Amino acid sequence: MRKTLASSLALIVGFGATQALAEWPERPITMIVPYNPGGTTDILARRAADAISAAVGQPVVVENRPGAGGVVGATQAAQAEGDGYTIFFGNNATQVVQPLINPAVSYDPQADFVGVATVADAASFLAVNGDLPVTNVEEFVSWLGENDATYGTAGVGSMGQFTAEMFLLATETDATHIPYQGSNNAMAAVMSGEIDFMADPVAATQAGDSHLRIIAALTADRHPNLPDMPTAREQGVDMAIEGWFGVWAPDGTDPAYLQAMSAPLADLVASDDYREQVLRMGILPIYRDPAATDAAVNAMMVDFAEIRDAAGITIE
Amino acid sequence: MIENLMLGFEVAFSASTLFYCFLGVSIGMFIGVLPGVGPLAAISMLLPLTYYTTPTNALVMLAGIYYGAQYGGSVASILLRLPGTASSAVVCLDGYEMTRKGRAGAALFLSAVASFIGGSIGIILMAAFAPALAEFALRFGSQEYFMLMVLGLVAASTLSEGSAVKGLAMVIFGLVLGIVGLDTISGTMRFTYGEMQLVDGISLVASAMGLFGLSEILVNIGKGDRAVSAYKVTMRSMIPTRQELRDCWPAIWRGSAIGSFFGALPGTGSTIASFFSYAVERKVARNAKTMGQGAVEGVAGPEAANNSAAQTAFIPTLTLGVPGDAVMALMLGAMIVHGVQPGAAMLNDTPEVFWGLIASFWIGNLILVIFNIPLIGLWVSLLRIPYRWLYPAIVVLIVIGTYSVNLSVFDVYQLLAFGVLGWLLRILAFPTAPLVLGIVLGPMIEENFRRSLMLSRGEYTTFLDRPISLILFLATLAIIGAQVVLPLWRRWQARAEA
Repeated sequence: MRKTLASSLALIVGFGATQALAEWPERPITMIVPYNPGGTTDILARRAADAISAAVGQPVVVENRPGAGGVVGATQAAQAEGDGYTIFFGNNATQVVQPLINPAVSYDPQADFVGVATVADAASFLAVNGDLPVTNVEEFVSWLGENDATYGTAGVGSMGQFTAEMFLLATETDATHIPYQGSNNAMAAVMSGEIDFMADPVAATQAGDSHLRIIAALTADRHPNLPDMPTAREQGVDMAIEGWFGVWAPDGTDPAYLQAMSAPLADLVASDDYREQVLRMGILPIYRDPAATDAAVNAMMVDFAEIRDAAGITIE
Repeated sequence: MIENLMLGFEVAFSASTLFYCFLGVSIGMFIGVLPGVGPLAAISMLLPLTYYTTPTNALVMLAGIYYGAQYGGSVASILLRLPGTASSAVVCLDGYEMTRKGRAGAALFLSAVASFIGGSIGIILMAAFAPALAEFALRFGSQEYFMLMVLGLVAASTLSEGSAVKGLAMVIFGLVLGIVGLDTISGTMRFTYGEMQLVDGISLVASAMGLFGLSEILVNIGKGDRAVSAYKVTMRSMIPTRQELRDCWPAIWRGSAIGSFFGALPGTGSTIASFFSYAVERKVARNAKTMGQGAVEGVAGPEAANNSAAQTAFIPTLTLGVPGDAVMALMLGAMIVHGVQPGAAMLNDTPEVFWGLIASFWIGNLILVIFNIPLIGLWVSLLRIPYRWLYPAIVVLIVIGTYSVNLSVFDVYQLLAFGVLGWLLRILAFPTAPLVLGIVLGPMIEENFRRSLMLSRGEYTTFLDRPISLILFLATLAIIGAQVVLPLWRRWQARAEA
């Protein structure tokens, strides 16, 4: 909170900012990406890096530091100097979920990072095996009440587990968590009927397939790719969840730099070509400014801590 | 199907697609030859460049890299005991022995032919039965995967020559090493000692390269250069004898069948396929007795297997939208970025992409085999380089290759540790192949076993209730019977007669 206040104050004062901006950046900026090249996060990171680079007039060099679900790269970024020459492309796994559930995480996402911007939101869907006698949330909830159901995720503490548990808490139902190696394997298991359902963005890739039936969008609004699919809220279950992707900087980075990097990202997210690309990947183009990015982290920290405690999600 | 294939070849033979196919397989072969640098790194680096071409061309090229790497992967395995890709690790065993006997050229030739036939069979199966095979693959649940892995482990206890007890010990050691890392089922960190780099487990690339490649270099240090230059590299040594051809023919068919099967399952892939094929050859090949000492079947079988698996791996990816491994996940991502939606609808919505890909696979395989055979002379002449020059260069390449997988210096330390371990094991005459297999299979066996029990709520009979799982279980029993009980009974009988 204090950080947000400080950054807004700096913006209002403005004077110090212009002075600092005159000298920065005088050399390339490193952007740490905590996943392998070619994946969703990496593709988005490279678009963001190009946009920042074009605006500040220095190359933004992407450095992939994969490992431990993003924790390896995030740890490295958290330890970097807040001098505006190291930035981090993270998501809600590195900024909220891992720090909440994994005691081995050594950084504090709220104290060690400041938000620059978000550039996209992941949109989850609730999907059941195609043979289940269920076509909407209401039928599904009553089916859950009568059956010992199982749901699959990409592992303990994955976004899919938090999303499913959030749904189960909201509907006061129960199901057994079955972890898999990655979302795709969990999806294959839903399709084959080994498990009953999942709550994951990957389900959207099977829209219209007979093995898997999507029964709700779990976002606040309907997804532009599946405009006929009502949200859970529309179907009477009060829950919505979004995972975001965005840029953070190590704590201590000059607020003027944050603003200088955030502005071109706002333009990027508004551009047609970017919107078209991310929508094709099933992701929503959504921008948050530095203050809103910090606020999103803080809010999810509170919400997810509740789910974690209620569902007992933890890594030891 | 003929009509569809015509459409496919029409797409694949267009000048630009042909060019991208050629480009893809050339890059793939090259990175396959380089130790450690796998298709994953190459595809992820080239993915952004493909945004500027059509979806078909992009996918043709990326796919070419994938299966091209399987061709190239065996070159370094055969010549230098360096697995270019994890799936060609097992080819080191007999391929390198053939090189030591002066048959490097023949081994490379047979490997190219086996790869071509294996790849072609995979493609034919894909063209004819892709949707049916995908439905079949979906029937493999956790129980089936578990039983399949057990069958593999039992078969693999014969993976190496020499003491069976030592082989078994190495398998178990490998399984134990496979425990390291985050446990998928419970979310517990095991044996990571707070080291974040160990959360994802022991690096397969680092362990295979260390145990096979680096240990070979360590063993040869101090042996002098003469041993190397003594290898005869004559024109004659490049052509397989009629006997060699005849022997490896059935191995190629068996390898292709095994590879096609494992490739089509999303939970397994070319590495497991090649190990299985090798284990099968040890039992049924004509030269089973000389396996491990340079038997042609030990090269031809696994090579056919990993190439057919590389083709059929596209079946679940394209027809179900379910990728089997990290490379396939990347391919799937590439398709989506290009606006091609994989899944059951792909055959109807974008038939030109599906059939164009299939046709291009075959053209790519043809290019690779035509390309490879003249290159054999060049590869073999690498052996003329004295080891004092060759070895330092190889060490540099191995280190770069290992680093490139995760851009991690920690993986390089793992490589060095496994190199030293491999060297010690070889001095003590412990086989290293079962160790690698244990590391590959360990996490999968455990995960599927525990998941099966979670799903059945603790009922062990779940493994026998399901037909496919039951068949696999009976096959495992049969192998144990043939391998353990039969020899014991024979020995007992012989003793009784005496």
